[in-house]
Amino acid sequence: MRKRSSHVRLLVLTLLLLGASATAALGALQVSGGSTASAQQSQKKLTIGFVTHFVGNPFIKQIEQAARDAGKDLGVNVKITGTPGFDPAAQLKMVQDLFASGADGVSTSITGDSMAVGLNKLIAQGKPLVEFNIFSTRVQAPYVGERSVGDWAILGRAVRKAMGGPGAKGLVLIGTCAPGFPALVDRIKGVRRGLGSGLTIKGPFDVTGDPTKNFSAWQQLIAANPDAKALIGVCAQDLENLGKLNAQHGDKYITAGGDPTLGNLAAIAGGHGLISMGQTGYVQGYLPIKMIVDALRSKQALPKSGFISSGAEVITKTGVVEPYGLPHLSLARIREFQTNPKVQHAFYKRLFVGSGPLANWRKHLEPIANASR
Amino acid sequence: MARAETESSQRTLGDRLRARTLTARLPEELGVFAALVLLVAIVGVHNSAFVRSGNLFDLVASNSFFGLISLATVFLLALGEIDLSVGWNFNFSAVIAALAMVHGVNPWAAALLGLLFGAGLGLFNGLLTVGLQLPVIIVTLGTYSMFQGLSLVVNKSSAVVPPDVTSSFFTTVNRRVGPLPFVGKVPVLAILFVACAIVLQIVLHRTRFGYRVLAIGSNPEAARLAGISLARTRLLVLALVGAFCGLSGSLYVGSFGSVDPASGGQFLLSVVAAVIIGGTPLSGGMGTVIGALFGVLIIATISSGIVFFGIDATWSTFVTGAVIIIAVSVDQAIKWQRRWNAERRATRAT
Repeated sequence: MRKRSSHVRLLVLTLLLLGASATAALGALQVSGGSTASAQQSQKKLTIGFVTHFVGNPFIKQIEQAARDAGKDLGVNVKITGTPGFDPAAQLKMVQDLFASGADGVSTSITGDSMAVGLNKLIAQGKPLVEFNIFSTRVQAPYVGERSVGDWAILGRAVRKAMGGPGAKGLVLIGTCAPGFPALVDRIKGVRRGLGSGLTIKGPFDVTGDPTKNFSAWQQLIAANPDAKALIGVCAQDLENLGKLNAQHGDKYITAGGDPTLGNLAAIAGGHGLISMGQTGYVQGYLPIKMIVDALRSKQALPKSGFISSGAEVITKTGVVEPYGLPHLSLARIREFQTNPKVQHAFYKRLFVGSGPLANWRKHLEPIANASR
Repeated sequence: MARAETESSQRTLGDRLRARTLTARLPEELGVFAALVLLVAIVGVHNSAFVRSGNLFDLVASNSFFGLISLATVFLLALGEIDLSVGWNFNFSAVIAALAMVHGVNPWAAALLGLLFGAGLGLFNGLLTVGLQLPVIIVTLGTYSMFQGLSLVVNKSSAVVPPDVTSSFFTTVNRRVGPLPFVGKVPVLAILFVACAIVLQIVLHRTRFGYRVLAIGSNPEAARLAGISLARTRLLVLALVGAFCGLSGSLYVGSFGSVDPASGGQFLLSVVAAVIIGGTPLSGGMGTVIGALFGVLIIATISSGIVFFGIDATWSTFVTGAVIIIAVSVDQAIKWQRRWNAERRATRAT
């Protein structure tokens, strides 16, 4: 019996020590840029929080990497946290916790309007905040993201051109992974605008966010609409699956989607996908950190509203047309960005330093309404 | 030989009963409370801003939305059932309350409507369960999507924002009471959450309804033979869970001034985790609402702790899971230790 009791005590003690030391070690290790600085130096450093949604998603990882790169370039600590899906209340709490733990500024995606009241309270207290990737017009802070309608109209026009141009006829299917999600609703609006009139457009259909279910959903849509000419998905996982299905059907469909994921790039390189719209995720991660740091260092408050376009990346078989006068990229090069963060950093850094177009970001501020145009 | 065996088994039974009596001197929730205190202390030592009373109360208040649902879910788990639709019941009820406000209904009346609507959805789950004689988990597998889909249709896939958020309902929900001695100002939501936990704990352990729930969860057949109506109790428990989803939804609208199409969709896992961490087993027949309250606070502390420690997003999901395992292990180890101590005392006494 005594032996059993000592076992229990040992178990409790070990667990406590393990838990405390693992948590503390992770905490110490994960603050970007803080590992080599002495405690005194890190106290002087600014700390910027970065709150994302869809943690683990390849596109979000690119944004996170850009935020880390910005932290290193600007000499600040960047604390990155986030939620696995869309959870506005949890994200708001993370922003509040970051400020409570001593962050000097925070950038967050806005996964729901219900974050607005809480965020505006923080902004009213003078806390610097920048929205990225997804925004709310109710939040009194600047936003860095895609021009969702206008950028996706480019995709719509490209599909129409591939279908035969002004006189084109035929059925177009549109799929979405999150029906009703405002940013995706805007993308669909853009696609429809780009497609123009005279075509039969069906959808948006719910093709789900799970990659496996997404494949099955598109498969069933094709089975139900064998006469469709074009298939357009507005989420990151669509084009990869559409490419696979198109290959199975002898590439008889025109397929299009979004984001430069490895799967999407493979679909385009293999000739199974026509176009993918990128939203230059790197700018969405880097610029908000720079904006907050600039505002804190210059003691000039951030604007209460405004939109800075992260720029559209048009990805086709011939390569990638990058925004802000960046050089044209080959598909192989943009693929390299996914696996080698240093190459990616070296390519995009020129936007933010010296006479780079986003070095003086205030020049690019537009009315927030333009984000949905 | 047979007599010796009978005496031995009687002694063992007596020892066990005595051991239980001794164990009962300390509350069952001690282990989970210790785990909570330990977690709070670890985060507090790392960053003292975490343990400021204002921050701790904010933590309680901002987690009270899934927390309120967790409290009522204890009754359902005590019955040996799980409701998968709680998150979307919450969302749909919040949407109905917010839409009523948009259409000019007094916000207090709209909040009450949200609560009743949630109870109605819970009752709907109950009627399907009883009518089709199916487990709640199967029925709510369907209503999970039904509530989500209908909510999307009603809110037209966008946030529902009441036009005037300055009325007394909104100010009351966001109010802080005090300053109280030693603790400062306390959010109304935090007070309401703790009050609900105490009331529901009394209902579960001190009322006929609560005894019926525990009896059915422990042995449905015996409960039926004892004259307890299984159908009626199931209906009432599901309506209770629904009512708390509705109450939580209405309070969410009051606190955030709007409700999004996705709000609450992720609640299910947190709700069930909080109840189980709190000490209510999935097998039914037992339950502790106060334990669930601590379970909610453990989950809340882990989420905030990750931010306070600056743990990278890539690691945060793993750390959340690992810390939950540690918290549950601490609780379990303390239970073992107490049971062993009690058994030892009983042995000495005999």
